[in-house]
Formats: sequence, structure tokens, C-alpha cells
Amino acid sequence: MNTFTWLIKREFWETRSAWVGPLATAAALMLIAFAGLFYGIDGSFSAEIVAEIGKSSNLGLGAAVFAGLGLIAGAFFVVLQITQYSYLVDCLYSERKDRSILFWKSLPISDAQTVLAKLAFALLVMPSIALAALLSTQVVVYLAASIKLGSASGMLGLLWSPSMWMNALTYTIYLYFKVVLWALPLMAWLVLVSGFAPRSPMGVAILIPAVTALIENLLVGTHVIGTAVMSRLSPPSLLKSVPTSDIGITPDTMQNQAQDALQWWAHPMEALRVDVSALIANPGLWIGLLIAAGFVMAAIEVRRRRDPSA
Amino acid sequence: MTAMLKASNLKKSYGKKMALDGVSLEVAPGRIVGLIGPNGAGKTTLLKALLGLIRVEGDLTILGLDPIKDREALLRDVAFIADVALLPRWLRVGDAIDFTAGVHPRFRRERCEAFLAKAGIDHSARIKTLSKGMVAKVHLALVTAIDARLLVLDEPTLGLDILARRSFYDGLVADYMEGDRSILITTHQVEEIEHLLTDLVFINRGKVVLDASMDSVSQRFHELVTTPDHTSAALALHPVARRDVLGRPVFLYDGIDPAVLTPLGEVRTPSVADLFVATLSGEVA
Repeated sequence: MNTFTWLIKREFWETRSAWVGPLATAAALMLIAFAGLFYGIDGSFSAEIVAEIGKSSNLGLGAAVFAGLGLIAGAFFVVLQITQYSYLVDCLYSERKDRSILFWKSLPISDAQTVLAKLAFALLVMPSIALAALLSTQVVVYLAASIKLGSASGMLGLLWSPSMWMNALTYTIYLYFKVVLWALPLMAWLVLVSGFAPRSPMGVAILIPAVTALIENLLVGTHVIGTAVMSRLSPPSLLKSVPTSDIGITPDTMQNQAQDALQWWAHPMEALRVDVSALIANPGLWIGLLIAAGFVMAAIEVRRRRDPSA
Repeated sequence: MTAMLKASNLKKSYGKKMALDGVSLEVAPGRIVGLIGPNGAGKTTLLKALLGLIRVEGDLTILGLDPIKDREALLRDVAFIADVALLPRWLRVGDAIDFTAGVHPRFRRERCEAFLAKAGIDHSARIKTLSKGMVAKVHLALVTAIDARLLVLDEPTLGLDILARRSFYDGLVADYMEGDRSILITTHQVEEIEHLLTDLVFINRGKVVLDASMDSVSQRFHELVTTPDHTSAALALHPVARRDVLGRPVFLYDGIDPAVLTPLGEVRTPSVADLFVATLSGEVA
């Protein structure tokens, strides 16, 4: 194993939240699914509701099944993001706080390797663990739903349609990378702050942009900084150009994210093509990535230069 | 042979205080150098500069490398303990060994494991469950198992009991010192290491006030234990320091022929601690 692999392994030893978060989410969702199985409304009634949904909604049952997978994924997304943000803002701070940085710095490991390993752990390892937990949860919840609805509902084929699952999986993975690439300047900022904040890095990470935005507002009267920061929390919806009339939604009827998901369900290949090309053509993406690279380089430099015992 | 470490005119200030005020120092291969100074003398600042942890003014090369620019390459050949017992609390002993073995090409796992076995430390233990002395032992086991050419130790035995300190220093010389390796060490318990040292460096207020080999120290400095009736004769020979032990005056001489002193009483080599006290009170130049 090379040094980088060891550094990732070290983060794994240190960061229990990387697997506790996904496991707790999985346990909670599975518990809800089983509770529904044993204590919920009875099976025939559920089948009626499903049929009702099918009739009343012009989106069809397929959309409901797809949305179900999406809802489960959404819960993991929220937990993953909280875990990632709190890990990143602490990653260069905890080793200074317990002074173990003096031990780590006595080994032949560059500051760049250390910082990049921490980023890779948050952005690639953490979501991989979350994805494994997510897939298990989706399977268990849909198993519970299958038992509940029974074969008579005619839903089993839809619930276990391989193309539906592939579609949902690719959408989940794609959306993850889209969110991360869009939010990367925020995440890199947290790493930088964790490298220099004398205490309470999360407070410092929020305070600096907040005060800057306030000063901007007071002096110039504009909201450029505040808007720029907030816009990074969720990526732009880019599916406006995919046909939507056939699935019965207009841009105003739903939130962007849900609308994107349904379009993905209806036209996966088209949606991927349109979304990727729109994302790549968006200068905001590249500006954000440049800023993120700057923050990461600054974080490496701070770890290199800062007196580790101060 | 070229010097392991060459520092000239190092300067570093924190605000108005000069932590290093023109320090020059050389360590040759195969030496064990004791860096001795009172609290706040600049010892730790000097060590941090040598290890590339902080930037200082002046010229500094270690094994021919720049400690800031070539830090990673340097750390393959320089091992250090900047402060004991600061391994992270969540780490398991076995994981710490695996990690160090994984990232350090010169780490000798057998030596580390033998040291821990002797100390009775279990590999599955987490650092947070160990006492401070045990953590210090784990830290020492990890760092001294590195086949480095220069080992830098800042108060390595702080928090250890006397048995552990003794066995650490004995082990250090037996296991680590071979060929042309060198050790640079600071400690407050100078009497415990003085028999190991080959060189002595005193530092005070950011300046080196004495830099000499132990051999030259024993040739240059002599201590005379005399009786009150010989006091005036002893004073006439210009001692650099005087203290009284159990009613008997003890004089310290710098650069005197011991034969001159012999008629006045017992002549011996001063301990490093006594020399240190005398030097710091400004009486020895």
C-alpha cells in the first residue's frame, strides 16, 4: 500500500461518523418500513391507494416507484452532507487541538498528501459508504413494500424493474457529483478554515463570509457575496430544455430538484446529455472549481507554514 | 566527514522577544549532543527550526538539505519527538505501528514491537485507555524504531518514572547508536544523560553560551572541594564560580592546570548541572 492509501485508512480509523451516519439512517428507514409492514394499513387497502394514485396522477405508478427510491436517497444525501461538512471543518483542526500534528509531521508525508487525502476521504470514501447503505436500504424498504402490497397489486414488476433501479442509481450518483462539484468552493473553504482557526472553526467559517457580506451590503448596498455563497448550497436545475409536457409537469408545479428527478425518470439518456452539457457550459461551475483549488492550495500552505505547536 | 547539521546565525523573534538571537551550531556524525537551557531559552524554537516546523532567519542545512524546502526527503533520515505523548486518542497501538510501517521506508517493525512487548503494551489498546507514561512509551517505540541518521528528542522522558527513563536511555544507546548516527537531545534531567553525551551545548536567552565536547569540558573545567582555611588561596586562582556544600567551599575553574589545585583539596570534573548553573549565572564566559 502506498502513503496515500494509508492516509485514507487513517481517516477511516479516526472518523466514525463516516459509517455511523449511513448506518443510523439505514436503521431508521428500515425500521419505518417494517413498522409500516406490521402496524400500518392492511395490504388490500394499500393496493387500492396505489391504484388510486395511478389513476389520479398522470405521472403514473412508475414515477411513484422512482420517487420512492429518490426519497430514500434524499435522506442519505442530507445525512451525508451534514457528515461531510462537519468532517471537513474539523479535519485540520482536531490534529492541532490534540497536538497530534507534531507526530504526523514527524513522518515523511507532505502537507499536500495529507490535505488531499482528507478531501478524498470526504468526497469519495464517505459517499461510497453512504451508497452501500443506501442501496441496502432501498432493497429492504422495497422488499417490505412488496410483502405489503402482495403479488395481486400488480406492482411487483414495477417495484423490481431493473431499468428503474439502474436509472435511479445513475441519477443518484450523477446528482451527487453535481452537488459536490457545485459546492466544492464551500467545502474547500471549510478545509482552509479548519487549518487556521484558533478555535471554533465552524463559527469562523460562517462568520467570515457573513461579516464580509454585511460590510458589502453596508458600503456598496449590493448582495453579491451573500448570493454567491448561498447559490452554492444547491446546484442549478438544468433540465428546462427537456420535454416535460408528456409527463404533465410545468416548471412552476414542482421544486427544481423533484422536477429534475421526474424528467430523469421519463427520459434518462436525454436528461443526462442535456444536464451534463449545460453544467459544463456553465461558467459558474468553472469559477467555483478555480476558487476551490485556490482554497485547497491555501490550506496546504497553511499546514506547511503554521507553527504546529502554537 | 561533513556535518549532520549546520546552523549559522539563526534568528527568530516572537514580537519583541528574540527566541533565537544568532545561534550557530554544528553536529558531526556519531555524536550525542545535549542541548541544555532554562525554560524559555529557545531550545524548542531551535529544534522546531531544525525540523522545518517553523521558518527562521539564517543558514541552516541538515544532511545537506533545507529543512523547509526538502522537508519530506529530510524526514526519511531525521526522526523526532517534539513533545512526548501526543499521539491521537482514537488511535490503536497496532494501527499506529501499521501506519508508521506503511509510510516510513526506514521503520523497523520488529524493534518497535520488541520495545512494546517489554513495556507490556497490548497492540489492541487505544491511546486514550493508556496512562501518560504508557503513551510516551508507545511514542518512543514508534520513533526510535526508525533507522534515521539524526534523531532529535525534545524532553523525551517527560512524565516517565525513573525506571522507564533509565531503560529508555540505555536502550537508546544500545539499539539506536551505531555507525555515524547522531542524537540531539534536550532534557531537564541532565544528570541522567550526562554519561551518554559526547557534546554539550548550553543555550540561554536565544544565544549559545557554551558549545564543547564532553572531553574538552573535562579538560577545561575543574572543581575544587576545599576547606575554609584554603579559601583565600583558592580565590587567588580566579575561580569562575563558588558554592558551599556542607560548609565546604567548592570552586569552579575554567582553563587551569589541575596540578595547581591539587595541594588545596580534592579536584574533580564538575557535573553538567553544576557547570550549567555556573554558566547561566554569567560567571563563565
